[in-house]
Amino acid sequence: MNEGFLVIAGFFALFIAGMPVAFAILVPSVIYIGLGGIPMAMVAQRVLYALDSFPLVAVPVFIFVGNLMNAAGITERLFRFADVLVGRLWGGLAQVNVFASLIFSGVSGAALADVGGLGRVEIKAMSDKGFPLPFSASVTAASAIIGPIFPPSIPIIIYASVTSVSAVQLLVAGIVPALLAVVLLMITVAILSLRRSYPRAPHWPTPRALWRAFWPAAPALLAPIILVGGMLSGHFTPTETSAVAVVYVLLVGTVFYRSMGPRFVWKAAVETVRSTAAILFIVAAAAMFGWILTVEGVPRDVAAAFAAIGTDPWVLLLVVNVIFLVAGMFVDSTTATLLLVPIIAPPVVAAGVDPVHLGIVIIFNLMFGTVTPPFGLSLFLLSNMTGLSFSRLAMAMVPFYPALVAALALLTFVPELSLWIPSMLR
Amino acid sequence: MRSLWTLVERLCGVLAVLALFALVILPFTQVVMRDAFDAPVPGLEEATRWGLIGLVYLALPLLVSTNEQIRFGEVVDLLPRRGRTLLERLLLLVAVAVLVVLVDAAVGSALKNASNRTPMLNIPFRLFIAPMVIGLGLTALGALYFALRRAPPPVAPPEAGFLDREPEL
Amino acid sequence: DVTLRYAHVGAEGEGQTRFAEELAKRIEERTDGRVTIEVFPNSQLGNLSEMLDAVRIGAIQMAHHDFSSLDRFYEDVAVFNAPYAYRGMDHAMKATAPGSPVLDEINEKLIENAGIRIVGNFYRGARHLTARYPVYSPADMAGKKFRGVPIQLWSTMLEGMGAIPTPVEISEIMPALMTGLVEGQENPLNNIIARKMYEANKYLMLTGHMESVLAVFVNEDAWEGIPDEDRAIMEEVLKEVGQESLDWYRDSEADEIAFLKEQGVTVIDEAAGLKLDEFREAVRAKVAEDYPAWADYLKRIDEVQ
Ligand code: NA
Ligand code: NA
Repeated sequence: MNEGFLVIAGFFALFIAGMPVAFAILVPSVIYIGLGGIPMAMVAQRVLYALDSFPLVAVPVFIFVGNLMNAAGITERLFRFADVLVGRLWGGLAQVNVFASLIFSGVSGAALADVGGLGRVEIKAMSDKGFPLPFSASVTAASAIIGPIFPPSIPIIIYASVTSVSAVQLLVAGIVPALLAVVLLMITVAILSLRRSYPRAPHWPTPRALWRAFWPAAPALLAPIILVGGMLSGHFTPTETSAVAVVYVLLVGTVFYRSMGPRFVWKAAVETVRSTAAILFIVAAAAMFGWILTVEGVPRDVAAAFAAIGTDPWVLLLVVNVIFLVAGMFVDSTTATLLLVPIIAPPVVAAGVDPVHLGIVIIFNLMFGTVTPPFGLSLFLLSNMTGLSFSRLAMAMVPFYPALVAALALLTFVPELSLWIPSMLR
Repeated sequence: MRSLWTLVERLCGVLAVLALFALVILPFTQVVMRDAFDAPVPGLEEATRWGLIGLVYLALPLLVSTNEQIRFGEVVDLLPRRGRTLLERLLLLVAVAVLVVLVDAAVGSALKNASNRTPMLNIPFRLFIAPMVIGLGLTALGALYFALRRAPPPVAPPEAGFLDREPEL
Repeated sequence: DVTLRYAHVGAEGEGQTRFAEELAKRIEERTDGRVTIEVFPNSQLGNLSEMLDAVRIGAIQMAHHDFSSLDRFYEDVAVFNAPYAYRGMDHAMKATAPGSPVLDEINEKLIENAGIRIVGNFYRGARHLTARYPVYSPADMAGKKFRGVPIQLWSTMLEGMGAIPTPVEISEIMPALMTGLVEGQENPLNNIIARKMYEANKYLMLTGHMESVLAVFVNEDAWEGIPDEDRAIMEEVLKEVGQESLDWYRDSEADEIAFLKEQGVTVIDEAAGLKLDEFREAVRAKVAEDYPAWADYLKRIDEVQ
């Protein structure tokens, strides 16, 4: 039997036993290298050079942007603006919840930053208006998926780093799919709310009220335009974009909002380095894993398996959907991307699927996994925040699955949804 | 012992945050120099990448005392308290073993590649790999301390970790 | 029996991938399977820095890449990448093959410093310039941003041409060209086509500023571990396939230029007014200024017949 599969089995055994992902990867890898008579210095070099990557620099800096936004109270202003703008729609604050996530996604790159920051504000507001807690929590989880689809996005940066697809193209490719998901979620919320007669705002906002809510949120609303505009105009790479965004948020926080003292910045920075270490140490460890699997010929075996399925790109895309939907249910998106994408993407791209399109499909699947049992990170966090049981939350999610599946199906079978904007860049 | 570890955490925290600031300042400088002055600075990207290595490895020791690495805790949570403590100690010791192997390999690699330099800035390889050796070494020491001390090893609160940390509002 | 892991960064369909596969196939045949070479293309075993260090420690035994990449082990090896150092492709191949006095001398240093031996070479095509606007002489590039490989030698070369060398990751080169972050770049023709750079840069200048010859190198311990007779076979096959790479290139060059013209690219060569002499002079002067120690090597490279 291929020793590569033994290494994979070792990883899963340790992972289930609660070993941190990075170590669950490193332990079987180190044993393999030791037994294989390969110089151990190899391991050191892999975990070093995996991080010797300019594109990956965007990961901590994007996290920093999100943390600073939360720290400066920008999140709440965004929520208030969304409230005034869409609060009159059927579903009221539930629609606001979805729409605020869209705005927030323009500055935040992680689904859980949305849940933990904005979600807190949203759930509290919805509870005060009498929405049932499970519903509020499930809307929050479903809409948090949008964050990493719309640029900036940490999962997309990591995806780009393992595939050498242009990060800029991948990032802007997420814009239309994110909007599509928003529309489908808002329709779902409207239908559910009509049936359950949830409250909504008594009337549409006057231009004056709209302006008064818009003005405090304006600098924050400008941030996504700078981010996306900077990348689309080609003035900055994603890494540079993230740095510009930090400088911008710092300026806005200190000059415009005057809410961001050195202590806030320091706290946000410490949070950022902790999170970065947790994510990128896995990236470093996974580099080892990928090396071993390649030497053992696992990618070749997988490519052969795909060849056996056929060369119809649509069939392969369907298979990819199943693989990553299941993977997303059991492991977090970083781990799934690092371990599976290098093996699965090449044969699918070889069959004619556009690599940018494939990337968006895979990321959407993995984000879907954050709101499904058994291993749904967003649900864990929400369960902890609200005191609701995990199973109760999972049940409340069910009405949102059709919308998410529909979005997934559309963006799988209509590549133009993903490829329209990046086509301007190539 | 505990206060000594707190000191280590402080120090690593400060260094990692400085590295983070470098990751903001260096690319921003490049943007300004290139787009405003038409004078891109060669080697900035290389320095930035080194900053990332420094950030990740120097921040790694911070995760030990809160046990907040990303992991699948559902099975561990089902164990009775004593079984769980035992398992956590065991996991920490395995981590220590791997880290020791890594540090040893990194030092070996640094010695063997002593004459290497990075292509643009000529950073000597020993300096380039130093943050990793220091970070992994300190993490190993921390993990060993928490595995062996009398009090039970830290258990990540369900909301710990970047993903789930409570933001200050 | 010996199995060697051979890594390189080339993608499917590139000439360098063909070279590695052809080499592996023939060596296995001629040694009756005593030497097996497993090829890992596409940076599968790690990026460039990693690949080089892995060859050094022996985790990977064999690889190929630009000569200049080996300068982390011995600085002067980059002289083989010096722009406008050769009289053409045949001269470039000869001067950089084992047996050439300059190569042999530098090889000794590499073996001594890093335990890495250059055992062969092959040709990958000259590097040419592309841009968003027509370029005829270095004056046309003055003060404009051009993408170069982020290595000192490339900066020297682009500065010699009058341009501002601007670092861009190769994966981001298309957005950078498309949006005008840089006005142009330089690469061999097959790379220009593989990455569809002609969609953003409609002008190709046949500057041929660098003869892109790649070095094939092995870990010295692994090399010593191969029996003499098999080593001799390997050297023979290396020479043979390296020589054939010149023919592959000759066959493909005309097709590549024709393809680019079909795509609406304006090709500017000497006949169309490209001032090759000005490029050569300006770049050589800048190289002489930045790398005074290379004067002797360059002279001896020139003497190779
Ligand atoms: Na986002
Ligand atoms: Na939301």
